[in-house]
Amino acid sequence: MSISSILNITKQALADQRSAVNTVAKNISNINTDGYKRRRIDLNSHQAMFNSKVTADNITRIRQRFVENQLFYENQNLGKYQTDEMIMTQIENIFGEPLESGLSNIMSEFWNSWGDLANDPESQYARTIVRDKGVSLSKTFNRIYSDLDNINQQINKDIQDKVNQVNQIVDQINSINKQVSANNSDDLMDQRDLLISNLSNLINIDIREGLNGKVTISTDGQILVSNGYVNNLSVNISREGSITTANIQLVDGKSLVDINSGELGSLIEINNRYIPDYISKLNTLASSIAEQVNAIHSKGYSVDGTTGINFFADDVTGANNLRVSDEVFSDPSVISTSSLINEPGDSSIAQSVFDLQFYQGVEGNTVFDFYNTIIGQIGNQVQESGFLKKSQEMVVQNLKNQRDSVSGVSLDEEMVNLIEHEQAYQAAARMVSTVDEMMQTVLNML
Amino acid sequence: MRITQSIIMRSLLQNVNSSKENINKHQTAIATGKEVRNSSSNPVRFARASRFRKTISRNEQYLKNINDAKGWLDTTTSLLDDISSTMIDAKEIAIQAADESNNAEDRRMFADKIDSVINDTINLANSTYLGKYVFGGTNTLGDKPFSYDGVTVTYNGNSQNIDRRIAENYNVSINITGSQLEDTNLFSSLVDLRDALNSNDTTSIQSSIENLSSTSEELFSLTSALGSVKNQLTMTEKRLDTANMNLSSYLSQTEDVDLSKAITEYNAEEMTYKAALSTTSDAIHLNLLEFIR
Repeated sequence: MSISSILNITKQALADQRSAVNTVAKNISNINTDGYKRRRIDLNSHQAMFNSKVTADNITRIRQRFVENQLFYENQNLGKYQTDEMIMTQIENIFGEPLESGLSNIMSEFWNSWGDLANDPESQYARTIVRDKGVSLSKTFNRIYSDLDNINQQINKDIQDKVNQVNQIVDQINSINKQVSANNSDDLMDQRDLLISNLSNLINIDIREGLNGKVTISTDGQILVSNGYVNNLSVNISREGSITTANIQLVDGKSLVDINSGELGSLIEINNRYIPDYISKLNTLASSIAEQVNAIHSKGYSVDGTTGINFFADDVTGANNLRVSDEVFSDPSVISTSSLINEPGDSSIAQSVFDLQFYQGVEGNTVFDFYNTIIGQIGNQVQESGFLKKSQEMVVQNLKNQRDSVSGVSLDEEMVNLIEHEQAYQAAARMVSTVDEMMQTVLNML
Repeated sequence: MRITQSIIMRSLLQNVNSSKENINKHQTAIATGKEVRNSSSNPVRFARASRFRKTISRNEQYLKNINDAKGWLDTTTSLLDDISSTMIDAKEIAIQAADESNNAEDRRMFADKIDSVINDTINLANSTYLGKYVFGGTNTLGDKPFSYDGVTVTYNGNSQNIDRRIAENYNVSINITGSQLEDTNLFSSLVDLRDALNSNDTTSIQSSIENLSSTSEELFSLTSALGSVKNQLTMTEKRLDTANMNLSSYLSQTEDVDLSKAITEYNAEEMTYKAALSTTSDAIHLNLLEFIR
């Protein structure tokens, strides 16, 4: 063995340790990078005896595939519960219970004003109050309706945005898929994992990783991205009266896709199920109040003897168009209180309207019970989604910890590696000077 | 388990955040005094609280009705008292006029006095409360209930009761109608007396005195009927007041915060938070870098 061959091995060792330090540097600099998986350098045994090569190009990306897939799956639920809680809280705030401006207080005030009118059936002042309370009752119904409608439109826009996001991510994954097959880059894989993680926040997906390193992603059994094939989603929002329905389709094939998880799944469920439910209940309540009050009111007489007048407009169909009739609005003196003409002291009609609040006339409930059921339902949903969100956050956090315990960068470990490689580098450097001295010795022998 | 920097940071953040969240929860509960602030904080208790609030507001309306009804009753009672005292005046005049020393001329003077008593009584019977005729039945507005053309008294009202709702399914009639007044022979006995005085008919004067006495008695029985209505009102008022007091305390039990418990929990949570913060500041620096130079 020649002395120069020792130099060769040392040269290799220097390069080798340098590349190891390089890996440590990369790990440390990415310690806070989301989705980064630590790299490990595998050094093959150095054989100084023969003219063997040192191979330091085998850098491995450390990962735990099972935990990762689990994480993608649980992410979908987390996205759903988070969005559920956020929007349901907004809806709860629209109803604004138990504030003064909440419907239950406004309804109480409306009916109490009829009680006051029944005490003083001749009074024009009490009639003005009844009219004003009727107006504010209508306005409150209108406001809640239009707030729900606004949130509905906002959700429609959000659905469109999320679908665009999904399509973007799917396209990016597809292009990474192509690159990966050409060049098995760890950084690209990290980037792809991050994209899949973001995608799993948005919709329900299934992930299959092929032997060639390419991934196949499908949702509801429909392939979004596979070996060179990519399919986008489109959204179709149909409006029927005050209710919108959002359907997700594949761009090609036009088959419907059931998105039931992730942020998009939450938005679609709230848009297609909950908001229509609340709006239709609100409509039932408003139209039944109008109908019942009118039925009693139109039978009565005012002080001036007018009769047959509706208190609420007669074309009320729901919360959006509940309003006091034009006759009553322009002249509250036509509000009727008496069941007989020319008996202004009789207040039986006003009393009957007051009593309506105890009558189980809205699908077998009193108006207040019916309304409280809606509020209870919303409260339950907020509470439940908040609870689910919290426990899901714990699940995801635990999985992330498990993942990081395998793939994450530990500063201590990297420092130890750094010292180890640094010392190895110093030793190799010392080898060079030793060989140099040996060469001198040999030369001096001549 | 292999612990990395990211795991440490994640757990620390989670601890600090959840402590902060709990502190905020207790803090708002203490500041607002309410544990159940909206439906989502506890749907079942919130629904119960809403029902309590509704019942309280309904009872308050009934209490208002009772108060209004009492005003009406008091006015009616004092008017009946005034009418009774005019009866007594009339009776005194009749007794004076019945005296043997009076001649026909004197008795005509007494008749004029009775005539003005009749007018006084008519005015009392046409009295209003808050602009409404008290004795007109449900004809509370428009023409006066009683008119007097100098000869006879006519009633223009009706015999309908004015009802007030004072509790669930509990109505009371709070008015005395003009017909009920007429039934006491109030005006007829006065008119008869006046006519008897004018015609100097001593026998009729004597029987008029008796009629006036029985009218007074009947007026008195009307007053006592009103008294018993007022008793009903007072009893119901008491019952509603007690009910609302109880309901308010149930409401408070349902939605208000138990302060001593909340403050204790707040303090405990504050300690946890401080501990989380101090371990965080320590743990962030805890790595090999701090020890190798």
